[in-house]
Amino acid sequence: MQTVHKAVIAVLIGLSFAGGLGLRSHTDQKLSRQASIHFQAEAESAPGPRVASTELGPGNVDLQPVQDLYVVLTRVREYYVEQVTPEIEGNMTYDAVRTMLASLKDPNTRFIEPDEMKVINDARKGKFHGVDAMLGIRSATNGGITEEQLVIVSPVTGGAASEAKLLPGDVIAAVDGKIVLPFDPFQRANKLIKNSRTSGTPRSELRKTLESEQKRIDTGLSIPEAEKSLTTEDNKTVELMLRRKGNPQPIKVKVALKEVAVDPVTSKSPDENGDGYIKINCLCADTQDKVGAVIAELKNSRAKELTLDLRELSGGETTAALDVAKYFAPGKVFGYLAESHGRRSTLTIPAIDADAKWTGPLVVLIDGGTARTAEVLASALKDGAGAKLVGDNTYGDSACSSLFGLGDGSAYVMTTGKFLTSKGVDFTGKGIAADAHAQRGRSGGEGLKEATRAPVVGRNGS
Amino acid sequence: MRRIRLDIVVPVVFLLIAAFIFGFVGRDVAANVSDPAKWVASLELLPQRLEVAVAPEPDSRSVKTLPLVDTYSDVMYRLKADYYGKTVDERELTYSAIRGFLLALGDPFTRFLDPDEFKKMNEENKGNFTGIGAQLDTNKSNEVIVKEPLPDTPAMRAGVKSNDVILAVDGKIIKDMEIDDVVKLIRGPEGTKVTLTMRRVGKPKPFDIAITRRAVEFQMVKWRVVDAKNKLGYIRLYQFNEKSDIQFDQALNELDRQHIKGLILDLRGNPGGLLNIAIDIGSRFLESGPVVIIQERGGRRSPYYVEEEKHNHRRLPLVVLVDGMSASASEIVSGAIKDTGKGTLVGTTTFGKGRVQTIMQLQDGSAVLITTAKYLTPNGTDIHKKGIKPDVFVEATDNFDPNDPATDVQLAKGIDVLKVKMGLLPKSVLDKMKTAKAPEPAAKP
Repeated sequence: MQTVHKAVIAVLIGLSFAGGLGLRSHTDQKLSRQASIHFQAEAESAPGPRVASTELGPGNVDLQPVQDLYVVLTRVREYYVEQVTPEIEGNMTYDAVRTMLASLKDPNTRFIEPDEMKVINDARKGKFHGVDAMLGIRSATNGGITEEQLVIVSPVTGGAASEAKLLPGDVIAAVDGKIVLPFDPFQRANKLIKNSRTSGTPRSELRKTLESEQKRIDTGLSIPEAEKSLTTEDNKTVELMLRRKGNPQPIKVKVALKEVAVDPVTSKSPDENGDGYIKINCLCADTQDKVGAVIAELKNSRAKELTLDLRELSGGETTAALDVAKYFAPGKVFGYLAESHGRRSTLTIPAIDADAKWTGPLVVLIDGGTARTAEVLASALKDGAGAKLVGDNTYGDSACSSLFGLGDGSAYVMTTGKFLTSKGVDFTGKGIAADAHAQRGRSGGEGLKEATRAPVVGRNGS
Repeated sequence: MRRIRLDIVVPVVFLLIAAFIFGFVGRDVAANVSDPAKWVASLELLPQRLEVAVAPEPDSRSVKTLPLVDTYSDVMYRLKADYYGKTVDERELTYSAIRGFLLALGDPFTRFLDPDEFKKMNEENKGNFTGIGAQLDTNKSNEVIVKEPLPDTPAMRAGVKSNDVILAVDGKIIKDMEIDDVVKLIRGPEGTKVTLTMRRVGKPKPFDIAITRRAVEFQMVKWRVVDAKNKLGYIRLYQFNEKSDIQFDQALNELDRQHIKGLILDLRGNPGGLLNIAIDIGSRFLESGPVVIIQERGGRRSPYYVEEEKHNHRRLPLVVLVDGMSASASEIVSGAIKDTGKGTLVGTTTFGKGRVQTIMQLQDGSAVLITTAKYLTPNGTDIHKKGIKPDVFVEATDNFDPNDPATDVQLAKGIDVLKVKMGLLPKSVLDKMKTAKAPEPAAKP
């Protein structure tokens, strides 16, 4: 090529770069100018709030909400009858985020206080507190009133719930005699008042009923409060009132809360038939190494078949699940994640050395306590490694939620997607079907019609 | 012209495009490299963010409280970018955030009103609305009925009758709708028409009535003579709004014309209203001095004095009926009357709301009420969360029906007290009553 040509090309490249840079600066400026004009009216002195929406494109900017919020806040600081202390300011931030997220009415999207964060972080390391079980929230409609129920999803092996023989699906109706209230405890009272208008209930009777309703609310526990009292680090004994499927009467159980460090994996050496067994107790950071070690051992001892027990495993971090799957179906599709704005990503199982992989027949045990990432894992092993799924249908919660720190130890968790199986199947509310049913006399895997939330512990990334 | 050499042109064009793109996004890359925190932030947008996004363990070094607006913006941005579920409504979420941070003040009177709620409050304060002037209710079959067409309103003139069942509004069938929603359908701009489809006992078929909407005044005052022989008058005030003082004046005029000699002012169930109206009404009963003292943050006190131009009626022996739902402006008036000895309070301890709110309207029609001051009664008492104890304690009975005076023991006692004050009953009756001990007021919400 001639030198002239090279020079021309070089110049063109330079111009093109400058063009891109220039266009970007132009659009950026346009956005920031819009933002500042809208704010000048109200926010002269204080540092201007950052506007979330500007980054979503000029056609989509609605500055009014943040401006309203800012104005109200300024007025409160200036004119509220009491001095707004830094402590109150801190609570205001927490309550703003808490209420904002709660208004989405999605159990997987909520604010998390610093002390609850500790419980979650411990669970990621396999250390559980309190009742030592994954808790979930289930909606049930009864007499025109929709109530959220706090349910046991899966007790952790060797934990307090497991020792007290709590079962997946048990509804926690009361803790130490305090009724667990649905999210909106006033529903019942409102209905009563509304009915009284038409049914002609005498005022005295209405008042009496409302007073007892008020007492129920005053002495009861909200679901978050109940959850908190069951994931506490305070190792006391609590009395739970449970409603269990098949039992008409509520069951009272004493549970000695305790801290339990879960071994991520328990295993058995091959039996006389050459069958090995691995139970996964949590999808934690070091689960994969333990699984790898056991598989190496089993291969050494010439095990023929492997049973992988995923029962009562209520999910965990996605990467941990991927890293378990790689011993059985390396390089295959684990599943898909449907995300906001129509995005969809493929979760691919990592590759692994051929000799580390389990090549023999695989049986995977599942039940109603197998939830979230564990369900995807079971399905991926069936599709990618020809595993046979034995037991009960899984829980049926496909929500993928992510945890975001707020910088002071508090955080919020938010639904960021939905898992689909490696065949693209949506298993929400249905669960993954077992190929062969083998009951252990435990129920709890009934299909869930409404949103469920796996609990405080191990929510992140599940 | 020479033949174009594709093997050169294609890579060159590609290079040009690449350079353009690099120019466009280059700054982001540079910014991220220089700021490790941002690296993590952008990594969070990849599928692996499930891993990365996990919050750090609580850091004891950072005890600073989170700034509200920045935190709100961060969360809002994240929701808009990554929330999976229903579409994120920024406005609704912001309303919730405002409701949330107002909650943290722990003051139930500092609160957010959405545009509908604020409009309703405005109408209540103004004391009028544009509609047809029919009070609605539901019957035992849960149908919406006209309880009563108010006097001199479009509804009355169009021949709407009590107990007419409303089946449809402008052709829209209202079966199973809440009353509030039906009211919203019926109301509208002045001069426009609304067509009600009604059913009436004695008429074989449903029929339509077209009614033109007009400004309708709320009836804030009801009055009557409760004892014709002794000439005792009774005025019930339902709320303190912009129409209250005029209607109150009219009621006093009517009672003057009947030459009443004693007055019962009924503030039971009156939740309050506007501060200036409380001063207007209070001025009618006090001689001079402050009706109320407003105290702002920092302790600055502003007394609001009696308006003497309101002294346009004869002074009469006075009894004020109060109960646990007499709040705010009702407590200003009854507190001033009690402090100055201008009347006797009969009933139960009042609600105990000693805080004044300022209304702040936002651009989209929503509003915020912020508690900006305390008020004190003329002798400097803060009644907040305590309420005002009546001079004569008497509770309503369980069978009390506001529409049936025969069941109203508080009114009966009020009449007795008034008679004692007027010398119609021996004073010993009153002394006996006063020794009846009032229970301690229950904790207020």
